[in-house]
Amino acid sequence: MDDFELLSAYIDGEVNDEERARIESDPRLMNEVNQILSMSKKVGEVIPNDPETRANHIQTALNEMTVASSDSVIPIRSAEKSSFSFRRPAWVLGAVAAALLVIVAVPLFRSGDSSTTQIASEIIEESDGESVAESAPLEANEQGREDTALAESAPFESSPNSASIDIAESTDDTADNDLVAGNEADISEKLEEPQNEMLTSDEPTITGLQAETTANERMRQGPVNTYISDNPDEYGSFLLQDVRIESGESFDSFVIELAPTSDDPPSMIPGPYAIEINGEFLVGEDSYVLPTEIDEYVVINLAARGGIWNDETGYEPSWGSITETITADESNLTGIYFGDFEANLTFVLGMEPNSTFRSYQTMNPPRLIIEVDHNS
Amino acid sequence: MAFDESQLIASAQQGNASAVEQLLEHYYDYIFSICRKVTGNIDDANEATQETLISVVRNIPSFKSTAKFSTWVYRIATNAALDEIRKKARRPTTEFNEDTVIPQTTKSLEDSLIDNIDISDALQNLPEEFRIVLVLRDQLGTSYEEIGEILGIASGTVKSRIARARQKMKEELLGNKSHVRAVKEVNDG
Repeated sequence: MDDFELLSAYIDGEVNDEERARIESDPRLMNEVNQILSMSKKVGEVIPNDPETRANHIQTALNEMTVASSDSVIPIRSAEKSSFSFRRPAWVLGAVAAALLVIVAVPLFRSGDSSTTQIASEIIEESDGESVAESAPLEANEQGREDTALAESAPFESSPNSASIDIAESTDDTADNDLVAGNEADISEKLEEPQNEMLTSDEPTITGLQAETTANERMRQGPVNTYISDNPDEYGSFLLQDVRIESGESFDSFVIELAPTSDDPPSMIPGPYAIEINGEFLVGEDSYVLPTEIDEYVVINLAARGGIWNDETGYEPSWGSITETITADESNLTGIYFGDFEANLTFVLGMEPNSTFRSYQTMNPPRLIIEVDHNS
Repeated sequence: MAFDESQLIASAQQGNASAVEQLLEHYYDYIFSICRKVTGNIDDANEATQETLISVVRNIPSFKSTAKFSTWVYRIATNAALDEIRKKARRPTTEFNEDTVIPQTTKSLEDSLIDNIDISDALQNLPEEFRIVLVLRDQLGTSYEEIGEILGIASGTVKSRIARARQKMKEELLGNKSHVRAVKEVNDG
């Protein structure tokens, strides 16, 4: 080891006692040490970035997160904004916690008089926890990104046929998870992607779930999903548990939350659904006139059973027609719940004309989420 | 609130955004400094810093505690900075730039050694492999062994590279100083 390497090692505390003694006893070497130390001190100074760039960097990185957090940076459900909410009884939670949910293959559905047939179902195997499932649909759009070994994508395994999820750890915490704050940034990016993909197979896809409403256009081909089930009762193993609107900085979310029933084996999470722009809807035998302020809307049909939770009587079926309006203070969305007809829940979601939206399902808790961009 | 890194890492791996944010806040300045010094310019440093943060966020669930978190983070930052250099083919020039030392001064050697501009230039004029070890050591106090882990080289190699880097830095600074003196003598007639 030459002298300079020895001095360098001395500065870094990487010399033995003998070497240290030799250096410290030689004024010439110590003078050299001091010079190197001055230089190293300067090299070692931390260079701060400007605060704005710093904040942007960190926020951009946080937006990459796809797991839900109860203390997300951007609070989406910052207040009780839903004017309509079901209460969830404890026994349902128990059923959720005990259930081993199995998603089965999406059966064929016959489209209505329009040409598009597609089932909006994600089939995802979740390995170890709560809210990752809900990030899967967003993750499905990440294919263009360079990093194929994304940590958050690892737990997911999509299959067009079957998958299972063990939600034994499901608790109130998971059930109450807010939407992912980080997804806010994703939506704008994703909504800019071409919407012209025609859905032609049963293979789960999320790209096709993005759609844009267009005035006077009843049905858009491709991204809009619709179905008519031959046997909707088959998919009625989930009960409506909560409906709410959550306002966010970039988009608002219409959240339809379900719970599996205790006596019906869960078969689909949360179940097939269809979204139709300015579509038709019925409330039992009665017609229903939308509020005049709703110029444009989507009709959401979801295979699940309706109901209202009541503290005194527990679950009250709501077969047939009821109408409840869901709003939130900071959102332009208006949700209308029309109850359940043959295990087919119907909602109308009023939104600004030409709004851009997308939908996806989560497994734990079982939810259907419609996200509507503010900046459409 | 005390910075409990292991607890934050565990929370972050469970998807706690607040924990992730605290970790990013804690490491940001170090990450940026690495990127700034390795890349040699602010634009590339910003790119590399952003890539580093995103990579940390994406991959933290798979982080194994067998390694130090800081080592893991700095490895990502170092690679991001190197990627940025290679991507943009903006390797630092090895030509002497008179403009950066033209201020005519009679600084002593030690003055010159602690001059920001001179240090930055000298650092950028180091070969890449020397520059990185020096930044990791002098800025982060990273041990030879950890630097070896980060760069995938033996700690003995780290030791010699750091020494050579410092020696070249010193030579560079002295060379600059000599040049300044020569310019001054010419100007003074």
